[in-house]
Amino acid sequence: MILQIDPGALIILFRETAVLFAIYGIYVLSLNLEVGYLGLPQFGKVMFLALGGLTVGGITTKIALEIYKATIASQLGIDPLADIDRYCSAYQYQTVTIINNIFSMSPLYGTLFFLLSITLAALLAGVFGVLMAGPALRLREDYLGILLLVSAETIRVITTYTPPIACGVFGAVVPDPFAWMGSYRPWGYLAITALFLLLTLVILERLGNSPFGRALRAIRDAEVAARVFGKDIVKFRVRVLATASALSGVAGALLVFYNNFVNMGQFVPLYTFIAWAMLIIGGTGNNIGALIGVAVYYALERIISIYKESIRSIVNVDPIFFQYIIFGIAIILVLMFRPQGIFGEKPSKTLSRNILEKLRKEV
Amino acid sequence: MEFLGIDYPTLARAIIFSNIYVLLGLGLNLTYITTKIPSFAHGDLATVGAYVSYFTIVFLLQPFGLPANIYLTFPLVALVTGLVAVLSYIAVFKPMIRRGAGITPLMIASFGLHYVIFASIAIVADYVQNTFGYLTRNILLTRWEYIWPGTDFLTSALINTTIMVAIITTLLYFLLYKTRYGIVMRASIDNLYLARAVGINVEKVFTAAWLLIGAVTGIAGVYMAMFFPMTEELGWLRLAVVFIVSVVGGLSNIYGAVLGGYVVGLSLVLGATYILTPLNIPTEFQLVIPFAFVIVILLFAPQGLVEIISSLVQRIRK
Repeated sequence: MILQIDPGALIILFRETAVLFAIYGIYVLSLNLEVGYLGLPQFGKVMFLALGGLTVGGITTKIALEIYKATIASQLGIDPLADIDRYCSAYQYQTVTIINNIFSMSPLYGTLFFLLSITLAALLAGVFGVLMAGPALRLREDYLGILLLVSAETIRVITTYTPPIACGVFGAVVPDPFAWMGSYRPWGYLAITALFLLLTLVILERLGNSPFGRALRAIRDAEVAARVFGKDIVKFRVRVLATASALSGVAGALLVFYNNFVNMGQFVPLYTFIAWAMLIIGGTGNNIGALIGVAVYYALERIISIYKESIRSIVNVDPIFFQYIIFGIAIILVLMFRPQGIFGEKPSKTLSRNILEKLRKEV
Repeated sequence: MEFLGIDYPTLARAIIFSNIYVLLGLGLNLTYITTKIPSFAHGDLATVGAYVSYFTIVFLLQPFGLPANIYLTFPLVALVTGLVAVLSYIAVFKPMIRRGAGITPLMIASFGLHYVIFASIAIVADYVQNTFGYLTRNILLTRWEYIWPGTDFLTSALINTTIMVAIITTLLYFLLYKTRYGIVMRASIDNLYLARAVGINVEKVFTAAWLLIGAVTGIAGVYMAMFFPMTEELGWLRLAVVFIVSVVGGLSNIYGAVLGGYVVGLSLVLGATYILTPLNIPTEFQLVIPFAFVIVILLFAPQGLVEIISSLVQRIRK
């Protein structure tokens, strides 16, 4: 049963999926750096996505409000930061529209705001990543997993129920730094997220095939041996956590700019596990594999959402749950029969291919 | 009425919550002992129990004019949830452990299992709601609760959960320390390889343990559904708290859950009423209290409170 789909709608569907693919691509790639290369049970990944969102919704939006205080005061007659509760419940949309008008006039201010947000998000998440490295050095895998999960939940609860942070349960509206793109904004945003994804991929590929990446794999596979050879394991873990966390902070900021809205309560542990599902299905230790995992996830999601109504007419059940079952079974089967993922880890590019093959024959 | 400045309804609520968390934590600790991982699918077993109880009332008890009493559904709840647990052990954990999977892959597999159970419950709930017209979301099972006349806090849930915790803890104690099978079980728990070398069928023992896990968790789920609205996320949403219960008490000790359950349950409810409300902080912050607690425990004494206490006791004896 093939539904008739209007090509214009199909292009929009493709575009929106591509943006989400790029954002989650960055997120999953950074998870891959921690899980695939270092073997860290990162069950608190959503924490860093949340910190990225928090930076935009709670910090840079307030900076923008502070900068454009005079304009807002002249048009609305209020000082938005004087009474944060009133701002959240009554003036959010009006004030953000005023800032958007300013950004639609000047691309420079918008871009500066965007870059400031991204940088701050990376910084904040990176600093938290370094803080998390403390327990990561001393705890066993299972305890560390629980600690990270609980820390992520703690941050979610605190930020959701503290209104001054990002308007609490109301959620915070975020200025659109690309208002100047006008009707091209969705395509422009796709280009920007794609650019960030490409940058992340290049950085992580280079990192993975450098002495740094090989040291990480060595630590993952044989920690004692790596220590004997003089690798400072503490330093490596701190660096990896900082890099990966900063990258997911960027992903969080991009996600918020995509929605133009952030509600801290949305960052539930499920987002950690969706990333894990994508990564496990694609393949750990392999950046391209991880991206394929993201693509498979979104392809399945979109197919199910297109055929939603026809599935519902057959079984009268919300089709999203079939997607969960498919993913659950896929995760278990992959872990059982191909623990390295569908696209497993490739040998690192230390030597050229033919030399490696020759060596392998000799062994 | 007050006791040590605490009013009885709040205290009753705190004890009920603690009892529920003790039951959930007992299952999680047994899971940890048999598979070496805290399972992410544990909360969903509780949800299975809650839904089995509700469907039993709706489809088996009410149509035949039997009293709609949740305590009549307990045998079926224990059986079905136990079977689901055994099935998940045999289908997922056992083959993976046999293939030598590490801790992280096992935890992720348990998460995959969560997806499967969670979505299956949701599909059944959707199907029942759409086909038979029974409401299957946001129900509270408390409507079948009995309140002692003349009081407002002495509910059947308070008495029953307390009795249930006492019974299950005593049963576990007798099973583990007073029977032959208990010796076999403890041997398998303490040293898997040695037990295997002696000729114990460890996997069979663990399968029995999983039946127990399922039964206890399912019953805990029914009690949960009396205080939290019943949806397919009933257990999953509170999984972090159950993890905390187990970690605070000590994951590798069965009785750690008892201590941890009371610490967490009491600190949650009493903390919300006596620390947060006077300070004008929203009660949603109550979760932060045990979260902070567990972060401190994990950083300074990951073996848990039971181990700390037993080592203190030993030191004093010397």
